[in-house]
Amino acid sequence: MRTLMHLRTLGTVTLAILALSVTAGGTMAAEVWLQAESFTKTMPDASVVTMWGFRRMDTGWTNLPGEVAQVPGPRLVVPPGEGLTIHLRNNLPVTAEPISIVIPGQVAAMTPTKFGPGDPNYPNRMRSFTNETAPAGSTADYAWPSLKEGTYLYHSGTHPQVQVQMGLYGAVTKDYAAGQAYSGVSYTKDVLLIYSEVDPALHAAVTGGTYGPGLAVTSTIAYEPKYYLVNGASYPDPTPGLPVLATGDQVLFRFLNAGLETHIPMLQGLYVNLVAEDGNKGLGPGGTSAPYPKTVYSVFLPAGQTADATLVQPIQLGPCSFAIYDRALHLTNAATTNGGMYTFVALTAAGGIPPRVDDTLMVTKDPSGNILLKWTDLAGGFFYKVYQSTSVGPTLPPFTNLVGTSPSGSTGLSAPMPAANLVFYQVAAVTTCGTLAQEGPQN
Amino acid sequence: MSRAISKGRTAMNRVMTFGRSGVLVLGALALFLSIPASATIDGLSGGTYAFSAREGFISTADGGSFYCWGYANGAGVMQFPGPTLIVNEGQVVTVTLTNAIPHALGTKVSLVFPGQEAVVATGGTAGLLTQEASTAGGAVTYTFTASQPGTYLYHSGTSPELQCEMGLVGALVVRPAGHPTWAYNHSATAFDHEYLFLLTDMDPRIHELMELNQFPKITAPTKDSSSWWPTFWFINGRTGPDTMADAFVAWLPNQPYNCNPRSKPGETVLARMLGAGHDSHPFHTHGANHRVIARDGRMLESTPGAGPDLGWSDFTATISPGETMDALWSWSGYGMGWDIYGHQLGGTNLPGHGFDAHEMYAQSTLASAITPTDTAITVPAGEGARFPAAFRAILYQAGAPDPDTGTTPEVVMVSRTGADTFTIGRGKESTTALAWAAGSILAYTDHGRGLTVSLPSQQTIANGQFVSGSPFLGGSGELPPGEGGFNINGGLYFMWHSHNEREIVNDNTFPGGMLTMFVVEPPWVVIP
Repeated sequence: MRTLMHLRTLGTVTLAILALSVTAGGTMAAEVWLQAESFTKTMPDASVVTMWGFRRMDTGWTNLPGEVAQVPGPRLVVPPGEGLTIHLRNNLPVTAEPISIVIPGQVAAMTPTKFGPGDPNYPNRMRSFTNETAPAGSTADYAWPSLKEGTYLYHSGTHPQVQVQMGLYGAVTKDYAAGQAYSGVSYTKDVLLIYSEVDPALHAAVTGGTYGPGLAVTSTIAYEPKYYLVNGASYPDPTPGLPVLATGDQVLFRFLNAGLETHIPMLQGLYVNLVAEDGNKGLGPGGTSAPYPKTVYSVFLPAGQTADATLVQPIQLGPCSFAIYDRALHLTNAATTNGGMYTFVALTAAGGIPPRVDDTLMVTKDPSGNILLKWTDLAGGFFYKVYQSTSVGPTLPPFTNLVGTSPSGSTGLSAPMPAANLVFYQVAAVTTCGTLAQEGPQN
Repeated sequence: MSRAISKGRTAMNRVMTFGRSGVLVLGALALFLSIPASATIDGLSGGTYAFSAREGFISTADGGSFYCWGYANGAGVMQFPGPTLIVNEGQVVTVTLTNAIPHALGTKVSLVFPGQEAVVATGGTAGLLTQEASTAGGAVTYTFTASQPGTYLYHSGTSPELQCEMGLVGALVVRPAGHPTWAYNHSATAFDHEYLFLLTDMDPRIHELMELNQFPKITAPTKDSSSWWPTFWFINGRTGPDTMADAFVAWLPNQPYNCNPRSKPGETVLARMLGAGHDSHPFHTHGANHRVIARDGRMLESTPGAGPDLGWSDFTATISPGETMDALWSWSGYGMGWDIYGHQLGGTNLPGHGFDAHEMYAQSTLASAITPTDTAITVPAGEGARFPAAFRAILYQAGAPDPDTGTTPEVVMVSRTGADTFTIGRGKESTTALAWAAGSILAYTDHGRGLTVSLPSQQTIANGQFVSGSPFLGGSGELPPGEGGFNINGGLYFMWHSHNEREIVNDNTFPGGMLTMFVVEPPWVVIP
């Protein structure tokens, strides 16, 4: 088995994958050491919340420089063709609970663990979906010899209503082949977004020892989150882990919901093809293996769901950014607006201003008596704006009187026959990103 | 497909036997003229709009009144939801927004158009999502080309968690070029009537605190957007049963739109559903399954030109915030097991004459090539199980299932002789001896079949306001004094509602909330 080392991006460090070689045994499995720790997190409104999170460690449980406990936990990228082994260590405070790891959607041999028959509150009730990692530094292993490709959550399988909320979750992804998330789904950059929430009252009770039967907070029934996170951050803190997109990129979005409430990432000005849900690629008509795209701008993510979607539009020229926000409206930091689940993804490329439309604008009369303005489409997904002027004085264009706009890929615009005898027309290519427009020179 | 209501001999008889009201006579004459059914959505066409964000009050059907915000059309009053914009594919849409909300939390408002590509916003000041209009003055102009047909949402892009809650939401309908009675660019999306279902939810405490300028409230009991808790639910800006009042009633000046879906048997209804609130709502189209044909303004199509072949049939559609979903729905008497028109009873107050094509249900068709001399048919293996031992069926010319083309269908008796074999007895109910054409289609009908239950006596039941007194479509019957009265045409009422049952109340009072009644009207009713 080979070690898989990943440096998960925290906004500045880029994702790195070390090359792996096949062992003598022939079966490859990515391997990672994760340690559960308690740490504090400061929210944008300056309140401090105690969280639990996974920290990537080195072999033998030595520290890895630059790695800290984080929420969400480190992203695990399993190379195509490999399985996964997670070595888990429980460094939560001694008074805390055992932990474990499950990956919903992945088949594994699981050995549920129960409370003992003498437990005062839950005799013989199930405590963990699988084998446990006991408190105070104990370790245990969790193995998935063959991992299905796709986008999945890993999270604690012990007392999940508390432990997942406390922060014991992360993303694990595996591709079908290099550059293909699923068979036939190619991409060059992926944008991974994990949505989650924080109920500070619950966190305070759990870490303060006032959570449990007979105590101040008896259960999670009154769950009311106040903070809403994307990749562990609330706006105005930038969403960590985003690549910068460039012209020509085929973008794959991986959406995951590690929270307990429904979130609906909505893309502004863009459509995506929904290609997979819960790690299952959709099928075409008749069960064929062709991707089954639902073209949407909003992705419905109830708790625990994952979804993969490819960007429909070609990447246009930047620089600009586009917004993805939760249309279930978790857009505050507690009572403060302009917070929560806003993400801005940057697009950049060389240049920035669209080129001049090449040829001279042609004006003809169409059968209905309107004038038809024609140009040659510039490849690149531009749309077009046509302007008019009845006087060309000493100052040359740009004209400001907009006749109309034409969608991307179009080569003409029909406009009513003008009343004036002499009218000048110009066309300009426009690129947009969200609602920001960049207009090229008129021709 | 658009199908005119039954005419010919049937309508003539109705003119003679239904002298009850002038309205019905007019309706029958309209049938003669084959006016296509065309109930469409209330809204503004044109493409160029001036919105003013204003404050006002809305009413809930339990007598409540709540402070809200909404987009007004020009110099009009605030309305919830905002005006429905209806444009054609390829049209340039320009909305100029000004802000007249004096509230401290409403000094900036804006518009975003989910699903519209290349929206250009000019003017105002930059917000998180788009340019924003200020109460201090100035306007923001949003321009885009509605390049794809479909159903879309618009709402404020400024503090949406508060401003959408306050009511700054609305719908945009884009019609396919050249086909105003299709939903998308395919004939399989054609409809006879279309209705809007813009679903929202409301936490009244937020509106109360906003009116008192005490929102968010940080002293106990606290209330802010993270502790949102709805107790009112709306369709098109009204709680049930105000949903069923007329549109533009004077007593709901800030809630102009209603939700009063109606159709006749066999007609196709397009339901444009939008999630404009915080929560998902399982919207239930009681009476028959609907077929989802599009999501987020994109037809569920496997390849261009295939039509909505990736759509699915269901009876409840989960409409989540930001999402739009289009579905086609149709109801006929097929499968009821009894004649919905009560033909077997005859009488002067029931349509007891001849055959009514609306008892047919296309999906039940046994498409068999039948020659004029056939007295028996064998259906495809396994298909025979769907039919009972003996039933009435209709023969009509293949490719012309609609009797309005002039082909008079013939009703025959069909009896089973084996698993998939039947005999056909002609001449049972037709008045002329017809030779049916080769390739005729055999379809199942309950024509003349009686009710399968005994109705309880008048003294043992409680009647609601929509009871007609008769189980038959178009019928009426005796009712105790003061009962019923809301069902003048004798239509069938199906509740269309959020199937999250706590949402069909007004502040815990049933009926209310996200609820309306779909009325299947008898064929002679003109639906505006």
